[in-house]
Amino acid sequence: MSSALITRRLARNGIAPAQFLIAVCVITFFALIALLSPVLVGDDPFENHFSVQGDVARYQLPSTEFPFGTNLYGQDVLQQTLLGTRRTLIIGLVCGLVVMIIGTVIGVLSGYFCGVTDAVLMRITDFFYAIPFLPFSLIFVHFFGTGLLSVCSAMGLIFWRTGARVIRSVVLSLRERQYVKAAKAAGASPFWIMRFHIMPGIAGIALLYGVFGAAWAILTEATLSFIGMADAVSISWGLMLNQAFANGAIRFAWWWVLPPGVSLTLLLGALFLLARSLEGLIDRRLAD
Amino acid sequence: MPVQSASKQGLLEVNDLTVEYALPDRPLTAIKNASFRLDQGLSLGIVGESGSGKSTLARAIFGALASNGRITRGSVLFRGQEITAPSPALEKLRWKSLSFVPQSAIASLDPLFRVGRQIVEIYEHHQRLSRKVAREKVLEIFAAIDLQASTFGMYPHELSGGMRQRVVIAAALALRPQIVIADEPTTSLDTLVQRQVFQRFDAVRREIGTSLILVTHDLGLVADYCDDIIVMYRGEVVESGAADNVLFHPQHPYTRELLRATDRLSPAMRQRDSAPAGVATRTAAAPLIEFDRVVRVFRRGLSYLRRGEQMLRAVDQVSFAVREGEVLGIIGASGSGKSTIANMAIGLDHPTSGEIRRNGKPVGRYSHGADVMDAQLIFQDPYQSMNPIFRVEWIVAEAIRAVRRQPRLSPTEIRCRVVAALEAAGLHPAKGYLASRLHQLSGGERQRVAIARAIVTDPRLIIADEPVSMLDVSVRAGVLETLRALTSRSNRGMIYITHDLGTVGFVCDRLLVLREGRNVEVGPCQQVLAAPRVQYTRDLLQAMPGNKLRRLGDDTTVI
Repeated sequence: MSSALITRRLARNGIAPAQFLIAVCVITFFALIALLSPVLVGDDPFENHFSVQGDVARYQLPSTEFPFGTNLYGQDVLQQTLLGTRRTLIIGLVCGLVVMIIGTVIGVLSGYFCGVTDAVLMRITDFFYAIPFLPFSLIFVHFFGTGLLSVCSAMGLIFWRTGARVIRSVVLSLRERQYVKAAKAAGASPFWIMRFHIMPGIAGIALLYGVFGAAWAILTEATLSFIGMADAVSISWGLMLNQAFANGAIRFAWWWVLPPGVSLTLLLGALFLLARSLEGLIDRRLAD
Repeated sequence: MPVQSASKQGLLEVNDLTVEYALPDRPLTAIKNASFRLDQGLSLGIVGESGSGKSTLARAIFGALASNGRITRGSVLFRGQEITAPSPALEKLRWKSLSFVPQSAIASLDPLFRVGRQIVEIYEHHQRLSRKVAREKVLEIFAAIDLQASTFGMYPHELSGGMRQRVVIAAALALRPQIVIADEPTTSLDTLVQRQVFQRFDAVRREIGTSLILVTHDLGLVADYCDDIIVMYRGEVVESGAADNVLFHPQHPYTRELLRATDRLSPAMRQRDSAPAGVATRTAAAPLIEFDRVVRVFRRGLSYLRRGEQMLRAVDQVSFAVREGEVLGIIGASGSGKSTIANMAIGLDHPTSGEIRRNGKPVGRYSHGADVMDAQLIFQDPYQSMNPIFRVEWIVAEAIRAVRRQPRLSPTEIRCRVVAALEAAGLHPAKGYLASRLHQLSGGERQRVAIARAIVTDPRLIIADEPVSMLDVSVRAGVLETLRALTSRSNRGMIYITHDLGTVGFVCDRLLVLREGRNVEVGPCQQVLAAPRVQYTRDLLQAMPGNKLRRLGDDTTVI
């Protein structure tokens, strides 16, 4: 793809090339941190630091020794922030993929076959719409634990529903195209038609909802951790915020709150920008 | 230009008009130095192919260019008053003195309001009439244009295409404007309806003394209804003058080409070169396809509130057979069941009763593989029937690759067959087209790609559903020749479906006339065209535009 084409396609979604670049840079930055943090700052986020007097080094302001300061337990906030990136990104990636795959499969099958298939799949979708997320995840986590797999499953099971519906509606219009009828008349199988005539048309939207799914999953994981449904043995940004809140430190220990908060905001902002950009980039149109 | 006394001021004068469109990478000159004048009560036809700038010219006069279009030079004068640029003066003239009939009525009517209400609005807005008086006026103009009073309270979707077009014509004539600009006003209608609508339109227009600017690609229509003609080619006016003059003595090569193309497709004027030798003797072999008292009924629910069902007999007791080397033409107005027959013949739809046999074997409900490949369909619209994201090679190869077959073809073999099909469809050199994308091709080339896709599997039966109705007149004959050659040189058969009688004489051996799903007449093509037995066929023949053109053609050699 030439840069002029990229610019034009981005412009269709109202995005300047610089915004796209920033989004890519921010996400790459967090990905690098997730990969390299154990090398940079060691791998124990819960290590308690002590002052020279032998006391726990509580609530230290940012300094050269602790660039982001320390928390109530004398733990290094910088170290926690960096190590928390890993869990956050894994959750985003896994949930994004799950949401995209389930949403696409349900949406395409439902929209293409219509009739009974559509009715059944869409009623299932409605069922998932009816489930309130937080109570559901509380119960889910209660039974299956707070591990990565369990939390990802809980979110993946819920978040595909919007994508599936939107994809179905696009497929409904695509399947009426003359070229689909032409392919049918030539004897093409439903699988062939979905693979070559339907999928290219919805790839942009599927990816969009995948990235949205990732962003929502990250946010929701933070929420779950914040309300105390966190995995206490693995650090995450949500857990950090939860501890700061639970100890009443959220009012004064800004250095404890800002790093996870700002990181979340940056990452989510970048993801949404990326989603919008990708939607435009993938959409192949005649106008090109 | 029609020479008129210089002192007399024309109703509309267009001088040296140049229009440019700003495209992303460069400006495109759509019209170069166009000039003409139109006098009170006369009619002017603007003819040309798609892309010749005829619609742009109409829109420029009406001050309704697309947002990236701009008049860069020249002027438009209405009664000597300058209306070149959008201005308050033009706003005042618009609709009152200068109105517009668009091609697509459905797009210009608001689906949420009753059609009568939409015209009442015109009177309320422009003449400050009360709703009651306005309603009277609307009913008056509806009556003039042959619309029943009951139409007043209907919504656009409840009307047929012809009625909708009448409504927008009524809207354009509502304020008795001095000029009506009509952009392909009846092109989307059937020949029969087209004639009825246009005759009424023209009569009312003459009665109230309105001048007409008719933009069309149809020389026949212009010949029948216009006083003056201007011919546009690539944005330039290449020929203009009195209609008879231009049609009798075309000067510009393009006009001649256009006339020749129209002429070649007139029924009865050109016969098929050779009737297939001994259709009768071949009857022993099983027909390629046979319809045996086929009926297709659609159920239509009326609405949630009004319960009950409406049964629509789209195809009613139709029987016919197509043999090797034979072309069967099926003609009829829209809604006569032509496309339902095509769908059933190809297996996309199935009869409610009756039987369809291919090669003597009944067609089951689920047929795949070799059965399917034995028949291929060519669609009407080459812009919609192929997926624009793929290249030509992929599109043509799809019919081979999508159907599993024994033995599998290698990529090289597939490419060979694609190239051969493209060549046979008249695209030379075929290799040059393989990597093309559809939007790089002209309408004629696209339809040839569609033909290549249909013949790449080497089917024995081709079903062509209005294959040239979307194409410019000048390329129609060529595409039809290709189709014709594809059947006569082999033992293929073809079903040629159309509403255009002009082309059937050129292609078909036998003709089947459909009316509301019933087969009203069937016979050898020349016989049906020359001596139709049924009144309906006679009406269809009569309704073809260009009677005047044909008379001219008979008297002199136009070309």
